[in-house]
Amino acid sequence: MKKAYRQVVILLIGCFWWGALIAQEHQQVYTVSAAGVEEPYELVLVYDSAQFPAYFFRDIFTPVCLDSVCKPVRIKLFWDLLGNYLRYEVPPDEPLTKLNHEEFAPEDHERLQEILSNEQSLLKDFKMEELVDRNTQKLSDSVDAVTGATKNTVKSEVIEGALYTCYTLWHLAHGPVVGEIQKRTSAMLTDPMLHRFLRDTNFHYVYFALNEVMDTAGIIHPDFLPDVLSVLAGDNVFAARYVWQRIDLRYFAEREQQERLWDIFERTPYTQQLALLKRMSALVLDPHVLNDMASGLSKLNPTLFKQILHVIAAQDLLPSFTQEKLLTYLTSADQEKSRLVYETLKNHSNLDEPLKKQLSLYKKP
Amino acid sequence: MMYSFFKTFRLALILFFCCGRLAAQEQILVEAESFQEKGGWVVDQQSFPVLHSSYLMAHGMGRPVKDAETYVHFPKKGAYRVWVRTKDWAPYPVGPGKFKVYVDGKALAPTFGESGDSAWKWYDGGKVKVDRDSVSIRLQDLTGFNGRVDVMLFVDDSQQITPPNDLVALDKLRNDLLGLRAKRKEMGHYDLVVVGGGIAGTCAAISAARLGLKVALVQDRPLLGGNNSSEVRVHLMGDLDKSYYPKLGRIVRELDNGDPGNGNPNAKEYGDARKFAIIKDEKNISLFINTHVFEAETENNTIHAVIGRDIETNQEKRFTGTYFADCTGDGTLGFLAGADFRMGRESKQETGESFAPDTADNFTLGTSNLWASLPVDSVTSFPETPWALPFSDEYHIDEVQSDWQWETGFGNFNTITEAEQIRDHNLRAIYGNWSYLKRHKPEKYAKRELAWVAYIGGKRESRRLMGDHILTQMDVQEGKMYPDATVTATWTIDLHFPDKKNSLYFPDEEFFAGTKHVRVAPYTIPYRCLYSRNINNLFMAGRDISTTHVAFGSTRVMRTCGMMGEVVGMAAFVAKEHQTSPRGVYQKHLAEFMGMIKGEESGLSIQPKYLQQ
Repeated sequence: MKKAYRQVVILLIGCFWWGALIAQEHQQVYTVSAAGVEEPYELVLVYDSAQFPAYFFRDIFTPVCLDSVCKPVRIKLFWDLLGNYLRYEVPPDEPLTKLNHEEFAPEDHERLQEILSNEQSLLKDFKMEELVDRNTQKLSDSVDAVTGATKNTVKSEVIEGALYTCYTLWHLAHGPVVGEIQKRTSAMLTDPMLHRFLRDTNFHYVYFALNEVMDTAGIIHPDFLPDVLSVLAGDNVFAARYVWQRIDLRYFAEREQQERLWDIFERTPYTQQLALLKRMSALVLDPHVLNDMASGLSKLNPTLFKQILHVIAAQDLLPSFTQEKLLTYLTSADQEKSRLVYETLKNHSNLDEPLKKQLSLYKKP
Repeated sequence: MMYSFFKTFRLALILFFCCGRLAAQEQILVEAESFQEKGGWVVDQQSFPVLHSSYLMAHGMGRPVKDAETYVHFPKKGAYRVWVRTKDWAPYPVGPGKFKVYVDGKALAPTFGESGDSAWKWYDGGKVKVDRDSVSIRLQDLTGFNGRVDVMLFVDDSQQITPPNDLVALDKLRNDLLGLRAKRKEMGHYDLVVVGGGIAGTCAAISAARLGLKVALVQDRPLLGGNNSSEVRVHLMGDLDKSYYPKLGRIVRELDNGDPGNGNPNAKEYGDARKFAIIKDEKNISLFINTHVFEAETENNTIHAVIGRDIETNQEKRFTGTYFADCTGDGTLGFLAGADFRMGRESKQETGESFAPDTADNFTLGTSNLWASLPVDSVTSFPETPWALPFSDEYHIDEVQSDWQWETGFGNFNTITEAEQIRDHNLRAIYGNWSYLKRHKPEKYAKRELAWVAYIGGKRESRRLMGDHILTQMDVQEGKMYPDATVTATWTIDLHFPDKKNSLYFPDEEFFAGTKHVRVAPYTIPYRCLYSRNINNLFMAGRDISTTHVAFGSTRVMRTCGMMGEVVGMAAFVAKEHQTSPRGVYQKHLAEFMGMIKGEESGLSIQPKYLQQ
């Protein structure tokens, strides 16, 4: 019994040790030396449970200074793998403070997170000494104790009473560390990482990976085609448009691929539908897809109706079913639709007799 | 009792004007903007130059507005076919502006406003049976998202009549059925007819009236102040205290209600009541609000009269005058009278300005529809907006309130002929972004609600009427003092462009602006920029004065525009006293006029009435 108990304890200790060992492996520490700018500092890469790189962080102990007056700030800043700022943490026993050592309230933390998340903050273009009107500043024992002197242009970019804290942290979050992180991510980039990036909800990863797997002519590394097509079909309309505007149309030469494209069209938001139609005229469309398009015309608003007509009319050959559908619009009571069909098809050189005849009989309303 | 009588009388008048009928054909036309009870629907006249009419709109910021209702007298009982002139304002692919029409309590079969077609058109509402003299027509908004109705037509069902969409034929139909011209009213003769009751027009009217001129101030909205009214909520900019002539700016100061910033959720901050109170005290001013001027009678390049139409009742009014001032912003009166104008940017070669583009184009600054949200006690929801502009984690505007950057135009749209599309594009941006924020950033927005969204656009630029001098960038930057230097301007050369990131995500559909302020030393605007070079009795004040596009970037702010109005009032006084034209003031009476500008009335050959007293 005792032996069994001992074995269980040993096993537990072993598990704990193994767990601790693994946990240790979940982080990689880099020492960054930025020439002539700062002291060397540690940048930590954290891996997720699947051993994929997840994010970077840095423990910072920095003075927030103006002239000779400084106060220390201890804070942990987090970035994604491309150096985009994510969030911060402050130790409970060393809170951030404002004017006259007043602790940050919850709303100040919310505001600071907003400020630090704004990559385009006006703080970017300011030097520290430009933040205040030098004629009006009055320093007390706190460096953020600048009363009534913050320049109007940066007032909306900082927390009142924490001007220099905001400024210093913003420049740490968006400073040279960004390049350091990108350098390290590029160095460890693998295909599995790119697959994950392309399906990540972080849009920065998606664009980064797209640029890695797709060249300027829109040719995609074959291993990544399904991932890229998932971006095209995805919810991020901006990324989908980015793919569609660049992708080589060779990937939509066959019926199956075109049917998938048409399926995407039917499910995608309106603006993306218009973007899809702009390039679809350049495809030689399969008859089945053309028939699907012609069948769907009745459900469309006038703008989409017109755009799809242009796609159809751009085809050298139109299947009979498609032509029959168009014929029904040409003879319908809806004068606007019949006019559009007439205008779009009147110069088509390869139509069946019934449609040709009806076009010749058409009279403008 | 008296109030009740007047209310009934007013309703009867409205009823009389809103419904037109042609006995022979048994057609009854009902203008939506003339509904007796508008409920939560609002009157929009911003597209009058395109539609030749105002319309009624359900502006509920996503919450259905209260029904609008009116009663229509039918001279003959029987079956009528109902036509409703409306549109789908956001057909992407189907818009949200859905509404139902009830005739005598029964809903017409179609739901309107969701056709997917952006053109204003007549829609067949089906047949109704009318078996009483007076029948109620009710508009029921279904979404709060800007459904709109221009006009309705009841046609004897035995006649196969489809109402026309062609504007000329439609004008004729309106005129025939409503008797617009036949019922036109003469409003009398004025020394100065000021068209446009924004800051510039209001200042012009007050300035002239205080010098003893009989003035008509004609404004196309129910409020004064234009972009500074609570309908638009743009704050006043430009300095008054750096003026070369301290007297100028006094009237602007009276109208100035303090600086609440742009888009403040508190309407009262913009001082609508203050503006009315000041005008009310001016005995020489006859104020005509809700009157859109759409026609000018001219002869030999001289305006004799202007015709306005009430944006609600459609009552037409004719004003004759000795002098006219175009303070419309759009240069509407100048355009109607045939005044020379420019719209868009001149080329560098044409003006020699370093900020001008290499080739001339149609680029104009845009229009803002400002908005604001306020905190509420509990979590609230906002509808999904698939018809609006799309936003995502990648791109959205994380703001609780708008500022000047929310702006559409930039040459993508014509700010006059596509004013409706511009406003609607702004609404698609506002609602799409707000819907995204409510759904995806609950920690910040769950307990906030849209408190106010402007349906009247704050327009920055459209036509510029040409005067004897065209102010340029060089005039502005070099601070040239011409002998007729009047208004002192201080605002930067502030030319807006689409924000770069916004352009990336919404190419050719930008709704967010950026600018680069080019600072200028205080400079002066010559009087010759304030009257038309080819219409003999036409003054201008406001954003439509004679400048290049680049110089306009500085002159356009409202305190500066208000001072232009003050100058025009003085010039009209001098012109009247000497029975000369605006140009005559410059050519023959400049010293006297400049004496007034400098506050040296004692040197005038003719004393203003208030000095004589």
